[in-house]
This record gives sequence, structure tokens and C-alpha cells, in this order.
Amino acid sequence: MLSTRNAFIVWAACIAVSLCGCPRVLPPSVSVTDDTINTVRSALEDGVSSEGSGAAEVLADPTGWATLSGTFKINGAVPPNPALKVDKDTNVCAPGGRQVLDNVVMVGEGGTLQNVLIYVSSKIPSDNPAWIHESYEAARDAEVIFDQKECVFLSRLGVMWSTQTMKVLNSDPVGHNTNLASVRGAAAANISVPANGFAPYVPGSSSPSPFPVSCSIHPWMKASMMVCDNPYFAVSDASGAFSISNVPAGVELEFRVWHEKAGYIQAVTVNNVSEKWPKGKFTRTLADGDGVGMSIEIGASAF
Amino acid sequence: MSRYLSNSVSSRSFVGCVVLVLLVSSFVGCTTKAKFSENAVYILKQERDLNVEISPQQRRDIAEVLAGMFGTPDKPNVPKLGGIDIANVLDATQLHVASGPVSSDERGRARGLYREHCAHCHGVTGDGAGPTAAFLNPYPRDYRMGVFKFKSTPKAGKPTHEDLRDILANGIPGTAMPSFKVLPNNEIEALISYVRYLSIRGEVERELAYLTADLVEGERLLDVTGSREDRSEQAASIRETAARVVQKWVDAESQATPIEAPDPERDLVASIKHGRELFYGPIANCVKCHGDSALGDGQKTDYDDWTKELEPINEEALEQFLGLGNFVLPPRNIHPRNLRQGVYRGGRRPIDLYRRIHNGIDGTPMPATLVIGDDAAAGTKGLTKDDIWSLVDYVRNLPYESISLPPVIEQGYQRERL
Repeated sequence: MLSTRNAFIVWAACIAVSLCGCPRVLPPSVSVTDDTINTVRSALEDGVSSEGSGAAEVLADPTGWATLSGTFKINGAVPPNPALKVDKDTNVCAPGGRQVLDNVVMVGEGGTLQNVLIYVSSKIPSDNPAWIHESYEAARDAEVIFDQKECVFLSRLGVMWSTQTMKVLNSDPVGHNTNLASVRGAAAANISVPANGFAPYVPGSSSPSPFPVSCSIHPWMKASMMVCDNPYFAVSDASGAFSISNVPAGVELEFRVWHEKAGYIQAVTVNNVSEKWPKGKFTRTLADGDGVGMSIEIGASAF
Repeated sequence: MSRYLSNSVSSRSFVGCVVLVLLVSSFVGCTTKAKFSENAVYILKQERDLNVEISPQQRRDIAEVLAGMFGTPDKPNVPKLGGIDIANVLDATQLHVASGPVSSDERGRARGLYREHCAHCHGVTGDGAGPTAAFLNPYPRDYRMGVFKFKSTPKAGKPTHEDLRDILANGIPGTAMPSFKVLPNNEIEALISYVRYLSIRGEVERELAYLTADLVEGERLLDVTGSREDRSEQAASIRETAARVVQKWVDAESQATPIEAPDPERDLVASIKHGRELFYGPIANCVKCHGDSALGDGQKTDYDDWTKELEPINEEALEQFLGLGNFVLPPRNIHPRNLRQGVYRGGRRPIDLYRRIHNGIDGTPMPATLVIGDDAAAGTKGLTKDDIWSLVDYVRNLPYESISLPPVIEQGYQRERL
């Protein structure tokens, strides 16, 4: 049927396609020469034997205690929180068929912003009483509560000191499982929490940044958790206010500010002065007996 | 005449040679050295999470530090970290046997075992993105996260040597992972070492990306041209990071969850019945995900931890991740196991099922059980070890239980026992 010429074209096309195929994009890679490998290797192995002898940085002890407080506000309008698809245990999770909204950005009157985390990120010797005010001693071994009701984590942002333990409560008549997806430092856990029961969580050590918390049974449930290696942290309340009392004074401390949607807060105005906080970090040296107030505004574009 | 003939022969053979060379070279191509590829997904993830850009120079720094520590696919290296017994985890001789191109020496000893048996699915880098990966369901494992599903240790623990051995020997039923039981023992050992090597290398890479994203502007991961003091500080922090990863593998060997065998004389019918109550009850909650008929259809919208890195429910993010290239495989939902089929990926022995229920499955939504002691106060919610064994009995019975008429089957059981 086909003329020889047409047949030839078809064949040629078939062969071309089979030889070329669809290109598979390979992940990028960096070529490293043997010389570089050797240089880098000797740099890395330099001083291996003297490991551990390096004296730890000696910090000057704080000279007193101060209080850092303030408010977080959003400047501008943020997109509304999305509606959640609640398709399981609806009688408990969405009673009366009501629509459930994701509560990730909680803005109050006048733009006040809830659930912003502020914590001291400087490495603090947390066994040293010169650094930990006695008012925190009772909290050191305390049990903190992380509850869930109507398939919502009651704290959208949980925060605890690494020496504490957490009681993961389930105040619902249905079972949950709480997946604490820590990758670094603090222990990861994914525990099933019986209906109206609880499960313990022991983080063991601190996490360098907040990590997500979810429930696999009800995948729309989301929260975050931060395990700090010191007790100097706060989460802004419904009026956007936060307060950390008895913070070590007379030493430069690094603070970090984070929100689940915006991540580390990088550009702000503090008491009407604009500041850049690279990766959410800023430093302050507070004076003994100081009560520092920060009125912090965050541009809506961060959300 | 003879001169003319020889001329024509030589010119013809010359043309022949050229054609042959062209043909051969077109089939063989130019061989390039196998290279480890970069974890582009994780770098992008760090950039997104911290709102920073990781520069080409910083990416190069990561690659060079990794190469300095771990070498190349042809010449792996066991890094000296100091203060940690890394030789227990990574054996240089075994790595040599498993690495490199496929070949054998004059005595017939194999080399390049990883590329012979594993790389086509798991990739040269162990990123689970080998050439066949896109055609498999489930996708091959990406070792670089350092997370393994089927093991005897609790959540976030690494698999023991024995766990990896079981997987290599038995394969993973219900997936493309075959059994390598036919390989000689020393070759399996070499592959275990190499999988650990790729996993450690990959996890260190992630940690270095994390360190890099967190650097202050102008700071470098490792600057070999910098002052000796700076350099040794940088090197120490890199070694510390790597040692933390390796330590988890060292620790794993003593972390296996101890398991007591169930009473062999237990009443099996009663145990299955109890297991069934637990399965549907509000403490174990199995039914929520495995479904009303245990067909694995109770929860089909979740993702495993590897896929979650692509933020599959965030369209804008997903597009960005997939835009890196088609080595990033499109996300698929993770489905709970259909327990009616009697195919269990982590093994079908009762002890395997016990481990899955007791510890959960890392990297997946499957949670660990809240275990309580036999002497727990009345009303304490959780499962005792005997409860877990009852669940195992029930799960093992499920493939034989009628979906439509479970009670009849229970009676049938009793008849059998009589």
C-alpha cells in the first residue's frame, strides 16, 4: 500500500523516535576534581584528633533581669484563611455541618496578630542559675498540655522548654494520632492518642526551628511545635501581645521571630522604625530592671 | 597489478574502518564518570522555608565538602570524624566492592554491585530517582532522608544491620523491590554497607544545606583558603554535623524494640475476636485509615514524608518543585495497606506485624501504639502487649474473613476448632 519512499519515511521516523526517546532531566550535579577533594579532605581532617579540647566560648554572666514585651500587628490586608475539607468524623469535627476554616493567620481587631513565636535563640547555659531566673525553676520539669478538640489543635503553635514533658490530650470522642514531625534535635513522634485519652511526649532536646504537627486520621488538622533550649519564649495572644519576663540582662541576646504562614519574620517596623531581621533574627542588650516594649508591625505581603 | 590491488584493498579497508569507528562510537558514546547529584529539592526547600537564596558558590561548597568527606561513586571514602566508631557502620573494603562501575577482577571477585543491582531504580546517588523510577509504584526509596520504613527500632531510629539484611534478602512484597537471596553473603554485606553510606551521605547533605541556609551573609560552610583558625572552626562544625548522623546508625544496633512472644496456648478464637474489637475501637483506631472493611480505603488523601517535602497541597510550591526537572517524580497519595490481601511489605511473620503496630511505620502516617503496662491503673487508655498480639492475630485472619458476613466466619472458626 505504502510506496517504498513513504515506508522509508515511516521507518526512519520510528527509528528516530526510538533512539531519541523522551529526555530524562537529570538532577544537577557539581564536578569536583581530585585535587579539590584532597584539599577539602585534609582541611576537614585537620584537628580531628584534638576533638573536644576546644574550650567552649565563655560567656560573661548576665548582670540582672529584664522584661521584653510588646505586640505584633499586621500592616495591610491578608488573604482570608482557606476553608478546610472536613470529610471524616463530621459529627465531631464539624458539628451541625458548619464550615471549618484553617486558623493559620489569626488577625484581631486593628490587625493584631496571634500565634507569633518569639524566643531567645542565643545558646544559653540552661543549667546555670546565673542565666535562668529562679521564677522558671518550677517550670523546668513541668508537664505542658497540648490539646485537641473538635479536630482542631487548641494551640496552633505549641512551645515548650526541652526539659519539660508534654501531655498530648485528646478531648474528642474519636481517636487521633499526633504526628510531631521533628527532623532535628527534639524527638520525632507519631503516636495514636485514644479517644478522650492522652499520650506523653518527651522531646529530650531542643529543636533549632519549629516543626509541623499533624493528624493522619484527620489530615486537615495542622499545628506547629517548637522546643526551645531555654525558657525565654512567648507566643502572641489574641490581642497580639507577648511578654517574656526575667530575661537575662546586660548581655547581648539574639531573638528569633516566627509565624507558621510567614516563616521567620524578616522585615518589620519596631516602634515605627523599620528594621531588617535576617532570617527572623535580631539582637538586643537589655539593662537590669528594664521593661522594654516593642510594638512590631509586619507587612501583609509576608503572609 | 598487485600494487593496484593492494591500494584498492587498503583504501576500502580504510573506509570500512572509518564506518566501523563511527558506528561503534555512536553506540558507545562518550563515557562520563558517574557523579553524585545534588539534592535540588531539599536546597529549594531550605530556600523556601528560610526565605533565602542558596548561591551557586554555596552549592559548590556543599558539593565539595561532601566529596571531601564521602568521595565519589567510583572512589567512596569513610570520613574521619573523631570520637565516633564509624568503622562499625561503614566498612571501607565493603564500600569499595559495592561501588564503582560493574566489573570483576582477575580472580572473579565482583565490583560495582550497587550499580549492577540497585542503581537503575534507586539512582547512583540513592535518591530513588534512577531511570526506572518513574515507572514504578510505589517509587523506589530515596535513602537520603535517612528514614526507613521496615525496621525493628522505634520512630526516628535507623534500621539495624539485621533489618537491612532482611529487606535485601526478602525484598518488599507488593513492590518492585526483589529479593537478593541468591547473592553470596559477602555481596549482600557490601550492599548493606553501601546503602548506609548513601543514606549517611544524603542525610549529611541535607544537614549541610540546612547549615548553609542558616549562615550569616558572607560566611562560608568551609573556606579552604581562609585562615587556619576559621577553617578548623568550620571543619569542626561540619564534622559534628556528620557525627550526629553517623551516631544514630551506631545507636540503632541496640535500639531494637524488645518483643515477648505471645502465649502459644492462647485461645486463638478469643484473641481474634478481641483484636477485631480493638481494630474497630476508639483506642487503636485502625478502622479510621484501614477502612470499615480493612480494604485500606479509610484515608486516601495523605502523603508520605518524602512526598510531603514537595508540599503537594500547596499548588504554587508543588509547581516550583516539579519545575526543577522530571527527576522530581509527581506526587502520589499514600494509601493504607489493604489488609484483605495478606501481602505485607515489611514481612508477613507475626513479629513483623507486631513491630509495625507497636512502632508505627516511619515516614508514613501509620502511628505507633500507645503501649501501657499490664499493671496500668484501670481506665488507663492504651494497648497492652497482649492487645497488640490480638491485633496481629486479627490482621493475620483478615484475608480469610468474609467481607460481607464476618460473624458467620467466626462461627466457622469455632466449628473448625471443635
